[in-house]
Amino acid sequence: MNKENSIFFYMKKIQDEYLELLLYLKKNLTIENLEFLLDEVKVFWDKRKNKIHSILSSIISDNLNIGYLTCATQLDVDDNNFLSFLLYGDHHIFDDPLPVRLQISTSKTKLSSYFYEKTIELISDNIRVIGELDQKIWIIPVRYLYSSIDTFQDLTSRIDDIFISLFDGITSMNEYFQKCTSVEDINMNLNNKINKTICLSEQEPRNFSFIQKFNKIKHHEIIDKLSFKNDAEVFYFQMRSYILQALDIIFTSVNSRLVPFIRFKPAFLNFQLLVDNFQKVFPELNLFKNKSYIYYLIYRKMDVQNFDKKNILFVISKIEMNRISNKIDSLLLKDKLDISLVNSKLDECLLNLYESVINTST
Amino acid sequence: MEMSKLSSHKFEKGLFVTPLNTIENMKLNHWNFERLPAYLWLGLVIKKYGHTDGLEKCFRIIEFISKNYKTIELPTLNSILLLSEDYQREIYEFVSKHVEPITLAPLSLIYTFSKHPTFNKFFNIKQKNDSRKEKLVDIIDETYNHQSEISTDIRFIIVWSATLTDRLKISKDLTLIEALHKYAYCNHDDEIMRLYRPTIRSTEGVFGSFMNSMYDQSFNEEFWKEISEMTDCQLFVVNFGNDDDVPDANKYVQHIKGIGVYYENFFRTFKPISKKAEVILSIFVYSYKRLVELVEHKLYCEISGRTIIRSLIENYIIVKYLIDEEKNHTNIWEEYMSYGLGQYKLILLKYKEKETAPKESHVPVNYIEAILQAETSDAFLNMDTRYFDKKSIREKAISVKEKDLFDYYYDYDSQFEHGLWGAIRETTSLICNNPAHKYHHSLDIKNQQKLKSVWDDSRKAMNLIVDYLDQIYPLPVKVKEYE
Repeated sequence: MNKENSIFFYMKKIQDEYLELLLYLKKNLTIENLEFLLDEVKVFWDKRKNKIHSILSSIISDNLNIGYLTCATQLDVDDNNFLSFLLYGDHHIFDDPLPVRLQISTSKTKLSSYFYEKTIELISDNIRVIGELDQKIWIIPVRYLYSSIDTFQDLTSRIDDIFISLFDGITSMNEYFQKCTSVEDINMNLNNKINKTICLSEQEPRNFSFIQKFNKIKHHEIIDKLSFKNDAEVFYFQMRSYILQALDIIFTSVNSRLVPFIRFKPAFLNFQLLVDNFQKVFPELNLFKNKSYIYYLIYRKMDVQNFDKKNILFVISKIEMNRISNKIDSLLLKDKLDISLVNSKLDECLLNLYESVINTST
Repeated sequence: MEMSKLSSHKFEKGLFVTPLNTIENMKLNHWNFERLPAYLWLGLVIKKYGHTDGLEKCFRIIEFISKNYKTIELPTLNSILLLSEDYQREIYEFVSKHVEPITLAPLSLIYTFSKHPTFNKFFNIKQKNDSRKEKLVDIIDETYNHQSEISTDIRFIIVWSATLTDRLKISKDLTLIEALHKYAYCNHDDEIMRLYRPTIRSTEGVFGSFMNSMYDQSFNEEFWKEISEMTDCQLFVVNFGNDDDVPDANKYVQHIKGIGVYYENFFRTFKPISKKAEVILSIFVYSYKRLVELVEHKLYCEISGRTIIRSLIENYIIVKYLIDEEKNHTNIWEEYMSYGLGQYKLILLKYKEKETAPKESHVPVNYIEAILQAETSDAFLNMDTRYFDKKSIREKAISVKEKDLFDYYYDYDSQFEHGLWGAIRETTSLICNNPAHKYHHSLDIKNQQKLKSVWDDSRKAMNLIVDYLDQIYPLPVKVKEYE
């Protein structure tokens, strides 16, 4: 086979070129250069957009065999948690937030210095992903290249409508800010069901009340930096970002036919919640939703401690040998997921994987 | 531009050589591929400030460069970008005094910060609505043609710069001397510009071909690669015809079928053992069947339509040739049949004797064998790998005084039958209207491109066959008549 004409060769070439750029960024990133480097990164991806579209569209199968890990600040090579991602699907992409991160860093807002620091960490982690993971995960700014949310102006203006729909008896944003200032006010007006199920942060216990959940996020570094006037503003800011993010993922997935793997719990739950509203327009979203759920379930179930002290590429090779796509995809053909069946199948697959890793010397 | 005349070509050993290709060391040099990228920055200045103001700004910049940086012989961007950062900074500071820096911003898409930090610090100006790509494509579009007004302005600057640095010495060309003084101050609409423009272009063209070393081809290639990658194809489909738009086709086929029915009856009743009638009327029916394919499958604007009309013309020429040559052969009809069956025999033997022959194919080996056994005696059937009667179809066409049919139709349709590049280009290539892609081609995999319909010509070819047959085996008026 002529490897130089293989579609994967072109993807590797793009990844190698990106690695070169990341190394340049790592060396040259300064506050003064930020604008130019943001432009450099954007231009880099704009020039490769058609190639990425062409490569991915030629390897995506009807049963959606490519996943993208999104809403993560970085992949974090040192943390084995990303390994769960590789167990399902044929190809895997880390949705690189670098263009967005650089954009915020140059925004001269209260958040820019915070995101500037995060950008430096992200660049280093991306360098390691490309350098150490042997193309097992491609780094592509999926949402930057595929999102079309900006073109749906109607939709973005309706985020407020979606936000308002979380409440009983509030019909406009004006009314929201009139009726709510404190967390107690929000708690009183929130729809009963939402009040119980809403998820605001990664680590919140299930039995937390809404007020406890809210207080947990209220003092997050970002919220602190933005100095909001009252709790109503904080809640609006937080929910608006979650809704926007969920919509962005929905449109990116429809455009790209890539399955989102969202490990950040609030983002995942908001995506699962909102995606149903679009299934009439995009019936294929049901499959995206179910597959996204499977990714999340594996992530929650996989005990990565089993892989401690093992060579990462060895573990990845074992994961690839134990891929579960065929076993799981047959369960997804039905409209509704049989959760208990999926759970038992996943447990069985994971046990096989652990055994295979533990019982083989590296 | 007008095409060269056939008569101006020199014909040598089967090859028509164009007049320019007879001159030694003459080679085509491309303005857009080989020189434009180096001067696009001047194009942006002229586009922004207009013909006179733009050229004046360019004069000042170039005077500054040629006075202070002797290594730069022509104001090519590649030579400026190669200067030290300090020198680049001095030039860019001067440029920025005379030209709004945003004018050159589109080039920062190609010459990015990591490779050209100084250029970017001066000209990569942040804009609310980033229109750099559109502006870059616009200027390429306006300068791609080496004769456009902006291209001529840029080429004027090149000539002017070359005289400034003494790279170009003008002695007697009074028009050029006059143009160098007045070109910038005349409008492109002025009558005199009709004289100046070609003078400038031809001077720059000749000068350019001698100054090839000044143009860094890797710089040009990089430019075209980068710009083509960041823009999408703008494909347009050439659609000459519509396969549904032939209202009288079925009626005509029915008319030919009527003639066929008559001939079939005539042959069966009056000429059942005549080889001549069998050959001629079989060729007619073969032509009819190809016509039916054309109509039933609506192939008028398809590649197959062209192979069908080619077949009709060839059938007509063959029939005419056989009749003409009848007197020179003992039995040309049997010879013709034997020639065809000999070809079949060769195919059959390859299938039967070669181990590499496919076991399953569309070739009905057993049926061919049965035909051959029924028709001929194998022991006496030669296999002639040459043309029938040792004459090509072109020679046969000449022989029957139908060379026009060959020249104007058959030759063209043969390109499609053999898949030669002209036919592939016409059918398969979609033109991309994006100047940033150098107006390249893409592939018509959706089969959108439609060729000019062969219907009228196919009908004419079929009529020729019918009219000729009518002379051999006259048709009753009632059968021949077509309303």
